[in-house]
Amino acid sequence: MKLLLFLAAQPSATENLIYYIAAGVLTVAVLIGIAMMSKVETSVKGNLLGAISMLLAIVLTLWYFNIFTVIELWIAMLVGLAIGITAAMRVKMIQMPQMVGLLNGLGGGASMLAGILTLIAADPFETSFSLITAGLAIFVGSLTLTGSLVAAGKLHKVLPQRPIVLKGHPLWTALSLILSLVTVVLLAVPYILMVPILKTLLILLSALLSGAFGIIFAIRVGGADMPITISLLNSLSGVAGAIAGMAIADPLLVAVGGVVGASGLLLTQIMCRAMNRKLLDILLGKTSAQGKPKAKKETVKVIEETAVETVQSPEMSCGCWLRDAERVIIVPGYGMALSQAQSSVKQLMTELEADGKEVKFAIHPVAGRMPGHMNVLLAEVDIPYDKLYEMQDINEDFKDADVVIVIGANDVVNPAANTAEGTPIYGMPILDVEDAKSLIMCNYDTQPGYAGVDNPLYEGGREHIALMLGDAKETLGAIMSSYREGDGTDEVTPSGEAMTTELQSGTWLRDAERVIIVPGYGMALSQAQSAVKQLMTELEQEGKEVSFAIHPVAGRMPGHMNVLLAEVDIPYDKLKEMDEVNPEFKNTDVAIIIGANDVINPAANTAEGTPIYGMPILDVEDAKHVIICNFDKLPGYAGVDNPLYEEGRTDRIALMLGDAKETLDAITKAFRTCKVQPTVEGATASPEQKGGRWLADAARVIIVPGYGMALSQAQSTVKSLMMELEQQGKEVKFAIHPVAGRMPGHMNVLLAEVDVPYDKLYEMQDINPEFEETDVAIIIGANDVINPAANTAEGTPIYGMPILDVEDAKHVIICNFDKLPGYAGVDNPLYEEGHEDHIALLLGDAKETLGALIREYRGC
Amino acid sequence: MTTTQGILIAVFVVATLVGYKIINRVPSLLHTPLMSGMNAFSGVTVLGCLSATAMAAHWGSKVLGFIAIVLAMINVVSGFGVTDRMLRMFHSSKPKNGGNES
Repeated sequence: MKLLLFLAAQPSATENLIYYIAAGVLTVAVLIGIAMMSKVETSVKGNLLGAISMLLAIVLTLWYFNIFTVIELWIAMLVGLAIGITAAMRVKMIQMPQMVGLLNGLGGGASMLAGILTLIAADPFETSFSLITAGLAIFVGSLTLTGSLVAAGKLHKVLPQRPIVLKGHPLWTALSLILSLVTVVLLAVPYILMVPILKTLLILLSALLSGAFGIIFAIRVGGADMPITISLLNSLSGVAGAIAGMAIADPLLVAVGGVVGASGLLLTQIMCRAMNRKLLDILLGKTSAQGKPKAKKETVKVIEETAVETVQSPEMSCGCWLRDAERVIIVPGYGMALSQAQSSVKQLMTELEADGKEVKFAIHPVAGRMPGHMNVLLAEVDIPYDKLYEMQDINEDFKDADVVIVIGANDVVNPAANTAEGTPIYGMPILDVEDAKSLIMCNYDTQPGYAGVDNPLYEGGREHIALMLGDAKETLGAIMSSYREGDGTDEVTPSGEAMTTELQSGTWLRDAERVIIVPGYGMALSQAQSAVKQLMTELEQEGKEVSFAIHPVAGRMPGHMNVLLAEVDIPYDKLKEMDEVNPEFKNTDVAIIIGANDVINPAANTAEGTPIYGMPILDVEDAKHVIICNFDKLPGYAGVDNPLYEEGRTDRIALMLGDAKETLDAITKAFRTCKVQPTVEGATASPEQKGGRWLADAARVIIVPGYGMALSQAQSTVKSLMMELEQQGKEVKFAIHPVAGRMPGHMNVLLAEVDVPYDKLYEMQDINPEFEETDVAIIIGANDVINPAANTAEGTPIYGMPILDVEDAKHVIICNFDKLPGYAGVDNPLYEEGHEDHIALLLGDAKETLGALIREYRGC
Repeated sequence: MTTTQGILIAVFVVATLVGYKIINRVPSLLHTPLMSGMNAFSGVTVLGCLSATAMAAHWGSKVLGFIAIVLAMINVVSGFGVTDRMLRMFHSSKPKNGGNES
């Protein structure tokens, strides 16, 4: 306390009391504000309460230290205020992660400076508590500053997104950490502080070293680990403030800093749990991107079981792969010799070649038990020797091969030879079977080969690899029968598949009742939120139930998806958390994935040893149909292949690759076309269909609103009809009869309410001549004012009344509730039958009939 | 350790625990606004900067303090501003809420 106050006038005891009480009250206010942020309804007020508390805290501080008149404080605060407001207003929602990161950094920087100031002003014989806390404030503040800047830079793509690993990274991390802590300790030694130059130097050094630690720690964190890092930095910025508060003995700072620290820590925990990562792993830079193969005996055993489960039936995928393949390479090994599977191999080769596929054999120099062992065996079954290639000749070809079939070879294809330093096979040249698009391994078991080194190819979770365990002759037989089976159906599927993926998605959506949309970072990247919104709106118009499944770590910061969807006004009660939504996938007709990858990767449940194993995911696979709108088929950040991308599941999964905005648009369009298809087939066109077609062909449209529009509150539907028509370049006008509605100008008010520009509203005398040149006139709940009987039916109450000459239009669409006469009680000849080619009668509630009309119009 | 220090540490521990408890109730729907709100609060360090700057003896310290106040103020103001903007975007479909811009 005295540390700061030795310069200022000592506040009186009462002042002290008031200060502490006020600080307590403000702390409680802050906590209440945060508590209010747990509900959407109260959250805006909660935030405001927090802001006001902060303002009061500033005033309180100025009063307590009696520094109201220090002009530079005001200037500094105003500068900060101006920059802060501008930044808050300018920042785009998509930039929120980097904004949060940057702000974290600023808070940390300020805490660092507070620590420095405290130390500069400190009396060398100050209590070591103050000195140490001041030093720690520099440490935490500085690392928060630089770490946040790096994180923000990565998120803003100024720095590369991928983890940057320096040579000897762990060493640098440890070194910078230890050295900065040493400076912090040295700063608390009174005798050092007595030498001014030494003190300045130490302060500078400690800030720099801590900053270096922040950079070193942050640069090796990659994209998808960002939610964790940002949360952690958020926590640190609070901790820095709290420590600075201890250094200057300010209870308010300590309390608020503590709360922020706790919140960040909690978020960090939640994120870690959601990604199945350990915080320490991330701090130590074990980024999920480097999923390194585990070589443990126990795990391998489990994989055997799980692998069989995951790839529901490896034969099936093998059959599919082979059917689609053009180039096949077969790699024989000693296992083929053991099971005497040569003739099966020959048979497979013949069948493949019969279908025009190219088949080669890759012979490793040490395959088998003697030089040239394989050549002999294959020659035995009459395989021409010009199909047998030596390693150096064929290794280049693997990457162009569609399918590689390994038969009983192990060490000679073990990629561990390239990486597993210290093992007997390290450095041994191998056949690069891993490079092939698909890999079939027909080995007896997943035990390591002769050299005793585990083969990473046996690990689960690599969906381009099918493991066929057992006797090679049998497994080869299974592959062949699956291949043939497929061959038969081959003729059938193309006609089914001639339907494009979009159309298929459209049909699924048409038939669906419940749809769940799963957004991911890809949606953010392509800024496809509004396309998502559009799809949702159209689906809901058709009475389908649409909800959103939000994985806790989808995106780049906690709650990222929620913000993006809120931005386009999607109601938050449609956004469901993982635990809530997961059981619902079973009853869902279509799940639409938009740019999400790891968070829906079923490999997380099965592929032991991969970085995502055990991570809780959204069970999209349970849905009847899955539409995936991802940019490509590459694995997500964690690098684990997604089995959903595999071929051969087109009956359930539609893959729409490319920019999400475009693929979503394609789906929405396909949905629209599919919608109308079934009805179009109906023998006679319904009035809605007629209306839709007329509108599609029209150039000039006049809408005539009446009291019926007011009754059914159909204004906004009218507006959207207008918008859609205008989008297609059609001219839309409104004809307003002076007595339409229940008061003068009634229609004008209703239309203005929904923002229809008033220059589109025409009075009767202005528009009546135009009906003749109009393609379609749409009557919405108007009756007497358009009743042609007024011109002819002498003796009736409306005779002689001026009306809108809608009859002159080429086509008339009437959206009235029923055919009963209007208020005047005179039958309307427009309702009579026999005008079907000229007049379409859409009876019922105007909002619904208009909705139907709009849909038909879109379909056309 | 003096009483003041004891109190400070106690305040820190209590605030952390209470904060943890309260924040645990915030649904993941609001995690981003929560984070940016907390972010604003972390600018509370402005209080320390204010008093330290006012009492700084050297001009060098004054400059540092000035920068610190500016940084912390940006943190506070932007943090609350951004949080407010985000929170206002969240709408429920049930009651028709008036159109908020942004």
